[in-house]
This record gives sequence, structure tokens and C-alpha cells, in this order.
Amino acid sequence: MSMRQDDGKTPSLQLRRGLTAGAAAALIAIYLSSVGLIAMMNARPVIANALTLAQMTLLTIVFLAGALSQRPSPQDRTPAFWTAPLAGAVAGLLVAGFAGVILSVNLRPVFIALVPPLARLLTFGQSGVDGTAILVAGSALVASAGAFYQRLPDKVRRLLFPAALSVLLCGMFQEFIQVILQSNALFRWLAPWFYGWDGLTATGALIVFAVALAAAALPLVYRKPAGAGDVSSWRRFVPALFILLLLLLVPIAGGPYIAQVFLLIGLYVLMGMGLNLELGLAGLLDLGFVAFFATGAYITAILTADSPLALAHYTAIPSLSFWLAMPIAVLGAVLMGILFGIPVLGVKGDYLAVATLGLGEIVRIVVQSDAAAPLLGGAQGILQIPKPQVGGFQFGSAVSLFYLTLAAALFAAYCAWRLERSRLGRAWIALREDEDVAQAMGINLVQSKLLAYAFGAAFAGLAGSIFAVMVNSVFPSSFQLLMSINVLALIVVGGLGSLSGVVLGALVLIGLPEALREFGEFRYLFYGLALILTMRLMPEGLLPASRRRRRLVSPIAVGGSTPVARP
Amino acid sequence: MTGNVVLRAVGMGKRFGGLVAIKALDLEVHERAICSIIGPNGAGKTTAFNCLTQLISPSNGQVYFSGTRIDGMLPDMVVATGISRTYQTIRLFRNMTARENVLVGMHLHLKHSSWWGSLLNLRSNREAELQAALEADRLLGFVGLAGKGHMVADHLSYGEQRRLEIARALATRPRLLMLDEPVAGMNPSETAEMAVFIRRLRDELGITILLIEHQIKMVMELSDQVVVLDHGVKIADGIPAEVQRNPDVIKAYLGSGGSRGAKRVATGIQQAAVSPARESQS
Repeated sequence: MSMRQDDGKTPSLQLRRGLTAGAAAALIAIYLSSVGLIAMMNARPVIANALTLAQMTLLTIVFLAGALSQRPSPQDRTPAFWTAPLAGAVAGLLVAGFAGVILSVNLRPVFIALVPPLARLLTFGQSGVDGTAILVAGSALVASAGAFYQRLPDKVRRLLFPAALSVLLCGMFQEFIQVILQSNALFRWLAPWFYGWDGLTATGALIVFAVALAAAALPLVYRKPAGAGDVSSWRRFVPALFILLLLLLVPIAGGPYIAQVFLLIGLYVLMGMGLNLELGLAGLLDLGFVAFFATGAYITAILTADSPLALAHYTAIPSLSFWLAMPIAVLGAVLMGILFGIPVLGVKGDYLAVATLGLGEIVRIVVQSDAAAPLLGGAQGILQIPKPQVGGFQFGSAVSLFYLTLAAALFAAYCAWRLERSRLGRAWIALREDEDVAQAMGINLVQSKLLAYAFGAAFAGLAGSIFAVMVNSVFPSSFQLLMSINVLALIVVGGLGSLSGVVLGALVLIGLPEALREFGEFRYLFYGLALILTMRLMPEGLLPASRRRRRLVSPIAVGGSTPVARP
Repeated sequence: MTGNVVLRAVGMGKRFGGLVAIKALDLEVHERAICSIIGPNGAGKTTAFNCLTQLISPSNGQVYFSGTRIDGMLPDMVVATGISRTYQTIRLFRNMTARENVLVGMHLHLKHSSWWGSLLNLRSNREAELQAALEADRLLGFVGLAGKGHMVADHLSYGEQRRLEIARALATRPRLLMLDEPVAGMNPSETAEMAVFIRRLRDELGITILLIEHQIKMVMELSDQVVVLDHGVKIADGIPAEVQRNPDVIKAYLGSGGSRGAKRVATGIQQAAVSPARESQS
């Protein structure tokens, strides 16, 4: 009944909705072109000779405009389908108009990227009145596809989205994947199915799409039987195991550069797990986290380096091997963590972030200062840190150091996993949930908070120790605030309090900028975009901790009061 | 009113800047008694609770719990002496399961479950945790939440959350349990159930109860001792029958500026005073 009443105003509302969506899409496309990103993306093919990343982006923008125009709003629960083609047509028309402007007016003095080839790129090579008509029609079609996608049931969308994303990833990162594929005979045999010399082939794209579709459909087919609680317990580890397997194999297969990237990711995973104990469990927002990392690195440096700044050079302490220095570095970082924690014990929330930010900067500035220069080398840092050795084997290559990091990360993950399920872990979570009540339940705030800082620092110190031998030297400039922020961002994106989330977060936020090196400074745009999109679409993180995920599952009481003891 | 004085406040006061929230409160609660604090809104009841448990520290005066002076102690030490409490607005650890909430309450009594023991997965640790989990489930059963241990606290119904808060408080093994408006927002039958439950706590577990409540009928039926606060001043203290005839109390409720809640409570007191047949049994 009310629908009929609304009929009078609905068409104008729908019209406005379509126009807005189309104009927004066109604006985004024009913006991306003006800053030069579209031209740059054009250099990267998604499907060889068929689709570049730039074209893909343009299509996606129109597709999304179509999809978004169909999103129900409070005023309008069932938007008419025609808003989508309208949005597409508007976007197509505006972009075509923009291309026309580029061709007729010299805009290069304003935006250096606005050159005729860009115009041809934007119009997909179409020109003239016919061309514009084709473009507008095509754009309307793509937007309609978006609208159609939006109207599909959730279940189907959950299949299509990962499949399309897989094709995109396989295409975009083809160089990266090619290196891996060329590394061994089995992969080399597989490669021609997917990749031509210039990128992912159309057949390859289809195969990837089909395989990803099948993989996404698997959980639907093997739906867990109702009430089988123990199935889900190992099921939870499947993503973690898969990531672990990937981490084990990729660096060998990918060669030194990829191993180097993964080594960096591994170090961030270690730090992420440390900060995860502090922030994810105990809720202590720490922006000075890099100080612990620096402590670990510097202690390793002064204990092992072959340099005048090494302790062995001017004290009776002998030069230690990495294996002896590392535990000392971890202990040093723990001590630092406790010293760091004491002044901020009574500080909460936002204030804590600012206070720790200050502490972290103090550590860096002290290390950089002239006062500490005779001990720590000031801005020149400490050089000539030897690589770790076992017998005759030297951890010289990035690959071997990566496995060292992986072992350390596994150990750290074990510790974090155990701690989370301990009395101390419960105390930390209680602290995060409600500090006053936690204290009124008998939890010693000083002890629990200092332990959180100590454990967080231990993990970061371990990472710092490996970092020192990785780069053979330590400089204060390596320990910028940005590092703390990176670690914070990756655990938030991965899912606060979730171990596999840390790994995925590091893969995305540390790996992505590396994989997108050719985009220069623009890769930080992707970094920012990844942050915004995750927080907007998946505020709990990519792999939310089970504790948080449990909130999302509707509560169904499973019968029986059998106590289940935590292992 | 038998038993020793277990909680004693002497001249306990709290001042927030220029505002005197509590003015020199003297309070004695006897062992195994059910003592209620009543008073109009803003009388300082919850502030008194916070001062007694040292959630905020009193500005002056002393607080003794079974002979030990507890004012100035940290809340985590106060709870170790045997005082536990619930809150006016439910303050559970919302993202933790019901069982975990109770386990946090047992924190003090789980000293065998150390963090290094957990890291090494020691047998003694595992056993301590298993025992604790059993104990937690027993407590959940006692408050009527059997089988709900795995549920996230936030997902429990309002009444269940209130009971979980009590289970968590009981997990600290208190000798004095302080309940801040345990039946706020409950319907009459739930209120009656809660009253029975509170009496069970005292009778079966031997716990002394200190209660803040607005439900005058329940207070008068349940309590051995009623303390009336008004504007931070204690205006009456005694057995219910005495208190409800006290002219000061009636005046405080009726003359306290016309807040509707206060008037409702006042009518409750008057009605109770008019029909003195209903008197506390114990």
C-alpha cells in the first residue's frame, strides 16, 4: 500500500539515484586519469592482449556504480532496475565528454597525464558520435551487469567474487607468479596452461576462474553436519595451515627477491604477534612499539658486530654468536618493555597511544643523539654484523634467513596461542573489556600490563635481532614511527586478536606495496585503499579472531553442560 | 541480628570537588545479615558502594572488613579480603563467554595456573584449569545458567546477564557480596525469584549481603537491616519495621524535591508503614 503512495515521488528519486551513481563513477574515473594512475595501470595487463589493469579498473568502477545504484536505501527498498543502465550511460557519457575535452584542449600544463593516448584509453579506442554511442551503450551494459550481480543471492555472490578476484590477482601479479612457475619442472609444465609470454591468457583466466569457483564452492558442498562441534575445531586451522604451506613453499620457489619480501613479511608477522598480545588481548594501544624492535636489533649489533662499537672491542665481554646474542637481545627488549610500561601504567586509551608515541620517539632520538654516539654509533649506526652460523652453514641468503624467521614466528605463534588461553590471557582480555571491573575481580593491573608489554617487546626484540643480521647493520633511521604504525595497521586489517589474521594482514599490507613497486609512490595509495576498504567492509578484520567472530554467530544453545577445559 | 560486625565504615566521606556525595557515613554490617541501602536517586548509594570497594577512594574516614582496614587498598586487594560486588549497570566482560567471565572471577584462586606453566603446558596447570572450569560450570548451574557456559556474555538475556554477574562475583569466593540494584529492570516474578535467590546465597553459602535497591517491598521483606541515605547523609539505620515508621525517612522521600521516583518509593514506604503486618521474619 505504502509503495503505491510513494509512486509519485519514487521515479524522481530513482532518477536522482541513477544520475548520482553515474556522476560519481565518472568523477572517480576522471580523478584517477588526471593523477596519472590510469595511464600507469595500463602498463600492467590482467589478461594478455585483452584487458589491462586500467581497463579493468574503469570497468569495475562502472560495474560498482551499477551495483551500488541497486542498493536498497531506507527511502527506497526496491530500487528500479533501470537506474543501473542510467548510471552506466551517464558515466559513459561523462567520461567520453572528458576524453573529448582532452583531445580538443591542451590540458597538459594542468595535469601532465592528460594526453591524447589517455583519451583513447578512456574511450576504449572509440571515437566520433557512433563511438560515443557504443561507449554509452557498453557502459550501460556493464552497469546493468553490476545491478544484476547485486541482485544475485548472497550465496552466489560469495562464489563469484572470489573467482573474479583470483583472476585479477593471477593477472596482476603475473610477473611474480611467473618467477615461481619457472623455478621448477612441474610448475614449468603447468605454466603454458595459464600464461603466455606477455601475461595471463584468456584460457588461463577461464581456468583460474573455474578453479577458484570450485574452491569457493567446496565449503558449501562439505557443509559440516549439524552439531558436530569437533569438526569446526580443526576447520578453524585450515586457513592457517594453508597460509603456512604457502609460506613454506613460495620463498624456495620464488628465488631471492621473493624470499627477501617474505623475510620482511615474516619480521612484521613476529612484531604483529607481539603487538597483538598488547593491543589485541590486553587492549593497550602502543605506538612506540618500534622501540622494542630497535632494542633487539641494537643489542644484537653491539654483542656480535665486528666493529669498534661492539662490546667485545672495548670491554672484556667476548664477541658472541648470533645464537647467544639473540636471547640476550630478547631479554633486553623485555626489560625495555617493562621500563616502557611503567610510566604509562595509569594511562588509558587514546592518551596511551600518544604517551607511547612519545616514548618510542624518545628511544629513537636517544639512539641518534651525540650523547649515545660513542656507544651506539649515532646516525652512522653499527656496521658489520655477521650472519648467524650453524656448524659450517651460514644463514647468508634471504631464503635461509626467511626460514629462521619462520621458525621464530612459529615459536612465537605457539607462545601467543598458549598465552591467549591461559589465566594471564583471560586477565588481559578482561582488562581490555573493562579495566575497573577486571581490577575489582582481583587482577593486578600493574603486573598484567607489564607482562603484556614484556611479551610484546619479546616478540619485537626477536624480530629486531633477526633484522640486524638481515641487513648486517643497524641505523636509527631504520626505526621510524611508520614501522609502529605499519604493525598496528596490519594487525587491525588482519583482525585484532587473531593469529592467522596477523599473517594475512602482513601479507597484504607489507607484501602488496612490494608487489606494486612499479607504481612508485602510488603503491601507498593502494595501501591506504586497502586500509579503508577493509575497515569499511570488514571492520572486524580479514580473519577475525574467533572471540569476535562468535559475536556474529547467532547464539544457539548446544545442549549439555559438559565442561570443556581449555587445553 | 546475630554475628560479629564484618564490615564497618567509620566516618566515611566522599567529596567530588565542591560536591559532598557522602558525608561521614557510619555503617556496621553483621555477619550473615542481609543489609539494604535505600534512598532517593542521587542519595549517594552507589558512591558508597564504590568507596567501600575502593573503586574510588573515600575522601575521609576508615573502612574495616573483618578487622582489616581496607580503605586505601587497591580494588584487587579488597576483593582478596573477601568482598565482591555487582554493578548498577551490568558490567560483564561482554566479548568473553559466560564461563570465561566466571573464570576471570576465579583469578585470585587460580594461582597454580601461571603463565609460564601455560607456556610449557604443565600438567599441574592443565589440572588447575580443568578444576576451575568445573567449578565455573557448577557456579553457573547455581545461578541457573547451566549449559550456557559457552555463550558470549553479550548474547545472554538481561536477566541471565544479571545472574552471570552474580556468578562472577561469587567466583571470587566472597564473604561479603555487594549487589547494586540486582532487580533493576526486572518484572515482578523475576524480582521475586531474585529475592529467593539472594536469601539462598545467605542461607546456603553463608555470605553476608549488602544491597542497594529501589524495590521497597522486596527490601522490607528481605532485609535484616535497612540503611537510608539522603543527600549523602544517613538518616535511618535499623530493622525494616523501625525504618519504615521513621518520620525522617518518610519526610526525606516526600520532601526531596518532587522527583517522581522518590515519590513512588515514598508511597511504597508509607503503604508498608500502614500495614505493619508484613515484617521481616529473620
